[in-house]
Amino acid sequence: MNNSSVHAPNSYLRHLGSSIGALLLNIAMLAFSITCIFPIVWIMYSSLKTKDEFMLDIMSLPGSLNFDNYYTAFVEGEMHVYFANSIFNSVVTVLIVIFLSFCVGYALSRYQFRGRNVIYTLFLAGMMIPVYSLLVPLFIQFKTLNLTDKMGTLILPYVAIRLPLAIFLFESFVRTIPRELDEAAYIDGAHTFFTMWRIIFPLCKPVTSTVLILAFLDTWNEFPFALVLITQRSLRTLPVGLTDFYGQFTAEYTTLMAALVLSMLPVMIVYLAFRKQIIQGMTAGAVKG
Amino acid sequence: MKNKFLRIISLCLCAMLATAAFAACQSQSSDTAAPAQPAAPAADAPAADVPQSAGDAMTLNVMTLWARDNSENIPTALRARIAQFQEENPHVTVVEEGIGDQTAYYTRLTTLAAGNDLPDVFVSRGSELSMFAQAGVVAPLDDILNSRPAWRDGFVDGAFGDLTSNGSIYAIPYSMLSTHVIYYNSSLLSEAGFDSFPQTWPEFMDMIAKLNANGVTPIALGNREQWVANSCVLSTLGDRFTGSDWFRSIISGDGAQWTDPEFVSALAALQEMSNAGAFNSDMNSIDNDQQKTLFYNGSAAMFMEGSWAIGAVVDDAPADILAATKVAVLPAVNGGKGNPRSMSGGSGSGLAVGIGALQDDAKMAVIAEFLEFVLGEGYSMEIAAKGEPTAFSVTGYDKSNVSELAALYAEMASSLAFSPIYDSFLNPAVNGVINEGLQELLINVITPQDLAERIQAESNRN
Amino acid sequence: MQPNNAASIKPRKAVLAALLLPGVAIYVFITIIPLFTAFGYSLTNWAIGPNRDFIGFDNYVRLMGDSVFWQAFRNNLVIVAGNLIVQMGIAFLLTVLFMSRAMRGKEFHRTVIFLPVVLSAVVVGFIWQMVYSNNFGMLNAVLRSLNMDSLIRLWLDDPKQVIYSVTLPLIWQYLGVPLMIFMSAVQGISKEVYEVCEIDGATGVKKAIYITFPLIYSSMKVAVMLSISSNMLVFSHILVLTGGGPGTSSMVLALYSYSTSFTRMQLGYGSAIAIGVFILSFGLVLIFKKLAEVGQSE
Repeated sequence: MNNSSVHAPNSYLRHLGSSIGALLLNIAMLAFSITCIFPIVWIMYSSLKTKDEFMLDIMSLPGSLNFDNYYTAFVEGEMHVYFANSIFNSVVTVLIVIFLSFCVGYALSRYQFRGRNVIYTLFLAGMMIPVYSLLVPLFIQFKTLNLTDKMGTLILPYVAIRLPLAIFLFESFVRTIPRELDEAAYIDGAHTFFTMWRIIFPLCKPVTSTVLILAFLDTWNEFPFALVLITQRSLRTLPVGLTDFYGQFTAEYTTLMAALVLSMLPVMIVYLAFRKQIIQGMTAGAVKG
Repeated sequence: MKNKFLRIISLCLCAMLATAAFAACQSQSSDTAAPAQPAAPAADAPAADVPQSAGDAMTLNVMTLWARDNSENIPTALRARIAQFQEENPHVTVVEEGIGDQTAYYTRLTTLAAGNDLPDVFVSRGSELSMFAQAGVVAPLDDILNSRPAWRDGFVDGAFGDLTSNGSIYAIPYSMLSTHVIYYNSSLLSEAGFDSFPQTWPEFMDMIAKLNANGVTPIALGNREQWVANSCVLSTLGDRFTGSDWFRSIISGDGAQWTDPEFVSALAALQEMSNAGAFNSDMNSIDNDQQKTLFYNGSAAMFMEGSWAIGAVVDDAPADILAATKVAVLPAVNGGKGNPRSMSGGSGSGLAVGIGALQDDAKMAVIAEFLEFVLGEGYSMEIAAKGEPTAFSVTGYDKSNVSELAALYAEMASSLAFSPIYDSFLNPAVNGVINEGLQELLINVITPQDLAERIQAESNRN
Repeated sequence: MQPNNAASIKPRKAVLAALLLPGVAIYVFITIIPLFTAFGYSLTNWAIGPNRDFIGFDNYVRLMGDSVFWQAFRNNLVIVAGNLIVQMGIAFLLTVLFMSRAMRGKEFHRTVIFLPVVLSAVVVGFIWQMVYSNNFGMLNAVLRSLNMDSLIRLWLDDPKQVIYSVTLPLIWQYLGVPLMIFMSAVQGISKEVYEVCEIDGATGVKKAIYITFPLIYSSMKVAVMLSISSNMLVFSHILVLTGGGPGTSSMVLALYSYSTSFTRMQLGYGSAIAIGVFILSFGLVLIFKKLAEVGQSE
């Protein structure tokens, strides 16, 4: 790789210095990580407090474990309906996003063709549109075509909005996979689609997981389209449903906390389940590295 | 060959995009202005068991800005009435869509109004209602009211004031509220040497100085959401200086200007209060819930909010604070043209009807019935018994459950007149400029004169 | 280039169309057509409802002289710069550190740093209000306990301070995103390469520059574009934390466009602002892209 190896003259001192540095580094790192985990822990234990306990001291631990807030949120708040809708929208969206963005990303990274730059720029442009400016035009468009307030209404906008980033991630990743792989398969007579899905796609595990996590997260938390394109309560998604828990002048904080925990869980589960893929990533047999 | 293929695709695309942009410049054609289609109830919707084929089966879409578990008096009573209406009218399916978050509610409302697809019945403030009326997206309700004279005449004077545009009524009020009530802690005031609330401006400013000297925040202000300073403070303070005729002239555009010296003096008085330390220093980063918290924990002697806060104070304030809490309004100002015995108030908002319903006589009849049933005597009796000021006058209700604070307020209100609530009458764009500007005024970033000019400039544009 | 290679570089038309068309079609339908519709609105005086008049480019003339719009743009630039320098810098540093042996508990840190990303803006706003609160805030409490009272500010009420105060939560919350993108890119570097370098005595800095950086260069470009786009369009965090105030001192472009369209109900001018936001953000990304290409070709 590079031959610029430098041999330290006084390796003992350097070692001592670096271990103090390492200690400080680890302490700083730990402090930072605690700030990252604390809010979630706080929301989790606050959701087990009673309203009075919470009002008295927002930081204290609950006196006893009290799951009433969850019952209120899930059953009385009808969160199970919103939950099911959000799962449906997110899962379908993520699958379509991965499929379409790999297709486009693969084409953009592997082929030179006229219009390639136009398509690239078009997708880049999409990342720069303030999403609220699309609300009114899209609402009118959907209304005219009678697409609002249906089971699958949100899938199209969700897929479209997630596409650019996913495409760029796939495009930049496929670019790092040696072209010889495709070419070898091509000479062997393999069809493009076969090469793509059977040879290249499995190598893209780390980036597929990244796309999956980010697309799931964004879809799960999406608010404006769900607010505007859906009317029926039975089709509402979680983020819109959660507004039920923010009163106009009063707020039931502990119930809100329970609802928040429930709304964060799936994203955390998806993240924890797929982050291993990012880390393990490239399996043995890959040409890379 | 590929060239051709690409060229055709890009040509098609360009044509589509040009059409989209061109269509956007045009006023909507009649087909998009067609009546709202009632949403087909899904299998698991509450409407599922209503037979679709029934001759006069009908869905009534109602949109409200109350969270479903909102336990305040008005939404609770209103929802109880809606449920009862549903029970008595099985052929009508009332589908209520409650959006508890204001920002979300107005995002949705604006989008629906833009698409001319407002719900059959929805909650609307006077401010946007006159805009909707001008744009022709809401139905005038004069016919409904006039065909039910007993109901119409039951409403108190001025109940429709905020909800009228160009002589037509566009919404039915569900309460009469004041947006300006000074809730004060009488024991903190007497510690500062004031056994009753000051009746003159110099006394009032003196009290602010003394409270500060005692280490108490005189007035807790939570203006992050920007409407508090406008609705709960300026509406009344401005009226003290200018009088209500000036504001009516602003609204009708017959001569009064925002830059008139009276209004500039009102802005100056507000800035002077702020400079004298009347408010907490983080007034622009806390909200109206947090301003009450400062009052509850005894670190602030007063807060200014509407009559709707009575319930919250009764429920949430510690017993000793609640016992010491009394209500007042701003005192008279020197040389002011306004009636010092007034507070900004009115119905503020009400239930409006989307224009789409107007095309369907049967539906309009049901809506009329619905509004009278929901916002009639029964509803008013119920909220009156809880101490809420009603828009429809009722007598003989059960007063045993009215809290002491609500009774104090009722007593004060009976001796006061209502002056206009600024943000109920002004166009949303002008309100936006005032709201934003007041935050700057309170921290001395803008002078009263410059703010007045800025408001006038926005006002000229609309 | 060999002839048989050329075949794989120039695919058959049908294959290409099959790969591209579905994605492009959905995308154009949902974003590009409405964008042009919004552009059409911006040429009108539309407030609400079915009536609007064509007024040419008047809204854009107004936009050019709108001090709030340009103030919002400056604020966005502060946020973008803060995120690019601080957040990307830390993410790259962490990527390097996670490859080194000095760091303990990598697994834990890697997992935990991403967690704030799952929090909604409402929650993040609530948490940071508690951090910044004047009387009860954690930040002021820490400063007081360290006897650094002179550093205490009205974090969210001082118009000169507030834009920095709203940038910090964004840097904190989304650090996990570039980190995850970088981490997925460096997985290609085999352990052996790193260990050989360590035996050779290559310092951390050298490894970072010669091994890590080139390998994640391409992903870094994506992360930077993502950062520019999300920070140019940042909206709900500012809405929750300050609403753009005091006055307009923490106003950002997307929030200005939103409130003009939806709170003030001026859909024509609001659309013009949105198109302005789009042009400025897109311009910024294109400049970045040019710079990155120049950097790469060198």
